[in-house]
Amino acid sequence: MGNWVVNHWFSVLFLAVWLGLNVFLFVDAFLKYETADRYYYTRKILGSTLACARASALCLNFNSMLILLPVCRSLLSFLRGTCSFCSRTLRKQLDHNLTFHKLVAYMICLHTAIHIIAHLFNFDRYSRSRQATDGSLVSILSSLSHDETKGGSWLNPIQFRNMTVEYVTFTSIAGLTGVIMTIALILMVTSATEFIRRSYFEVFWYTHHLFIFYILGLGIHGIGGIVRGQTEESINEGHPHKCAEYFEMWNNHDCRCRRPEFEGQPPESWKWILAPVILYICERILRFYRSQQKVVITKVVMHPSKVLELQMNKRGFSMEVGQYIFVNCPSISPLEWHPFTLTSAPEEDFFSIHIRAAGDWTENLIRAFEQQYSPIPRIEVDGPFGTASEDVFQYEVAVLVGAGIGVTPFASILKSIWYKFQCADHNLKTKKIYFYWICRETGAFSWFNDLLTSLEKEMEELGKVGFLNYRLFLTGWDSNIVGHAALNFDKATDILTGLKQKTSFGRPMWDNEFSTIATSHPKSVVGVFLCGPQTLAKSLRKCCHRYSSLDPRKVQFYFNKENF
Amino acid sequence: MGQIEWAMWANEQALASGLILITGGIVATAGRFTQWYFGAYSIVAGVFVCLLEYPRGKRKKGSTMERWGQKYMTSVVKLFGPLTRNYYVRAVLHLLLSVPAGFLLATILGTACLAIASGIYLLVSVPPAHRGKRTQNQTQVAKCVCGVKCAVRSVCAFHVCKWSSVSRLIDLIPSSCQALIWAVALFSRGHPHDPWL
Repeated sequence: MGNWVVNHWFSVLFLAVWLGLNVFLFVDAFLKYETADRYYYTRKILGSTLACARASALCLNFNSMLILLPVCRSLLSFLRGTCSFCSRTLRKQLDHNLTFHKLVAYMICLHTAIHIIAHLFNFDRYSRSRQATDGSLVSILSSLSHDETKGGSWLNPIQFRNMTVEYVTFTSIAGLTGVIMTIALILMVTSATEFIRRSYFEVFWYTHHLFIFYILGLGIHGIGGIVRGQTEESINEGHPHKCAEYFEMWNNHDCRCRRPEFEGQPPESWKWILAPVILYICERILRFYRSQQKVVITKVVMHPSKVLELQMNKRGFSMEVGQYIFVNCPSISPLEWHPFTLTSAPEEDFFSIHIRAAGDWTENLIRAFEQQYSPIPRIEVDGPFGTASEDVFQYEVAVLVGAGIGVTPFASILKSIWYKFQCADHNLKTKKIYFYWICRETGAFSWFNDLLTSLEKEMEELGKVGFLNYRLFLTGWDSNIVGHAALNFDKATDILTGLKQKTSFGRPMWDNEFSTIATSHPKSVVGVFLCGPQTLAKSLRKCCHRYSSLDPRKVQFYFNKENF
Repeated sequence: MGQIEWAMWANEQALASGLILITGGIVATAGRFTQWYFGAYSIVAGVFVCLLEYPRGKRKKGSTMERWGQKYMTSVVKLFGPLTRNYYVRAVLHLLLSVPAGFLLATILGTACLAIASGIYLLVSVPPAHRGKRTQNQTQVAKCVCGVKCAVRSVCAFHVCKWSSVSRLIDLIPSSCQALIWAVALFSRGHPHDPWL
């Protein structure tokens, strides 16, 4: 428990502040509309649901302002870069941008539900008070004319007795934009569930652009001024507390109280969303501008297990270890951008990505590059964008875990280490690296083999064999492979990979690994980096908590996860 | 885009619509809005849609994540055989269910969402290679519609004549049989892949 707090205190604080602001805005707006004199007559018709609707509307404005910010990738990368003097904990929060985006979306859904239910009650009450013929206060208020020349301003948006609420909804700006916004929101949410996102990314990506309708609708939602409050002069002439009881005599000339006059509230949503919309538009323009820069493909390598390596060059491109880029291939799909981690080191004069066939787009791309006699398709690149792996060299001891294709950010790190050794860079804070690569099939090893073989040789030559400890785990093993390995037990190199380090079969026993590391480095800060599935993240996180000591001077494990 | 199984999204959309129908129905009934009985209908329709759509169908390619506890509902839904397996039937069913809820403002959102889900299911029912051309399915549907029309006309004629002549009865039999045969042919075609694990 103590370790959890140490690792997550900033997230908890941030979320508490956000929730607190939501609650504060809701309660503040609720009380304002429940007690203000301006809305005394409005409350006579509508009751507390007016305050409910307005309070949820304010929360909707607040959350709609926040929702665009976590997806401005360039802004976050910029903050990460400028914040290099900030503590590790603060920068780690930028990794959780998508989680925050989802939380804000859930809050928007909740407040949308509250807002719609409150307005359903409001419309029903307006409709009933329009139908009422008993001469009560509500019926008199409702009969205030919409015709400005008759000297009165209306309160009830339902003008005529036979007007249905459905008619008012679909003919008023607020109603129509509300319906459009809600349908857009529902479609965005149903296509953004984990299952749809992972299995059919294009459905999610294209449907999510309905947010444009949501934002536009939100901007013009309040233009009609349907929420009416009494004007200042009208209150001065006859305060509702004094005049409400004498409503039957409002028409009499000798009565001191005159008929109250109402005015609509000006729209305020646009004030909340203007700045984030401008930021997001700048973000998209920047992405577009960067994508138009020419990309030269210098080398194309087809590896076994349908893995394609592309080595490219782009003017003005500079990267850090473990960053990712977005790639677009106009000949396959003009609008789709897919993220890939860079597998080259910053010290190299090109940048490369390894693409595995895992869906429509990737399979088409690999097929397009496999054609021997047609020209190479044009590629557009946006990025690079930063993730947690940039922080690897900030830790004294780093534990890198990659599952399958998840090894790609670590390929970049290991290559970078190789170059740093060649240049004898003494600024390297990292003293030891433990690298675990967990894979299902042997074919996937081959493209990484060269790198590990050369690293092995490099370490031997420099006499720093202890710097990099790597273990390879084959989880999709069968008795044939194991039998073969057992027969060749005495050989110096592994039969599957040709490396000096033997391949292990099955999954790693994390408890053993972590306790060994904790005992070997009792006073260090250890960074654990994972690029892999959620279940593995859970077990690693648990181990990090279990083996971090409560004393901050002793061994501490910090967990970082790539979030694609 | 050709490999996208839109029916999976239609399933999520229909499930969400069911929940929205239930919520709208509860609000309308609890608030006793005008014509609140549509709200009561909406609750029932929403519950039915949720139960029908809760079991997630099996993907053609790749592994499918089952929803928690879906195996209990799957056994019930499977009992109806081709009626629930066929996406045409689902599309038409959802469209018909959504119509009555459209008369009340509180549930009109549920109507719109369910109609969208129905539209996606309808799109899925027509294979992409045959879109734009009259397919065997469409011919079957057209025949079925004709058959149903014949049957309806026969029944009307029956009522009008009120057993007045034997020749009318004899006319009634072939058209009803035709309608029945075409209905069975359409429904038993089923859907290309089995939608459950």
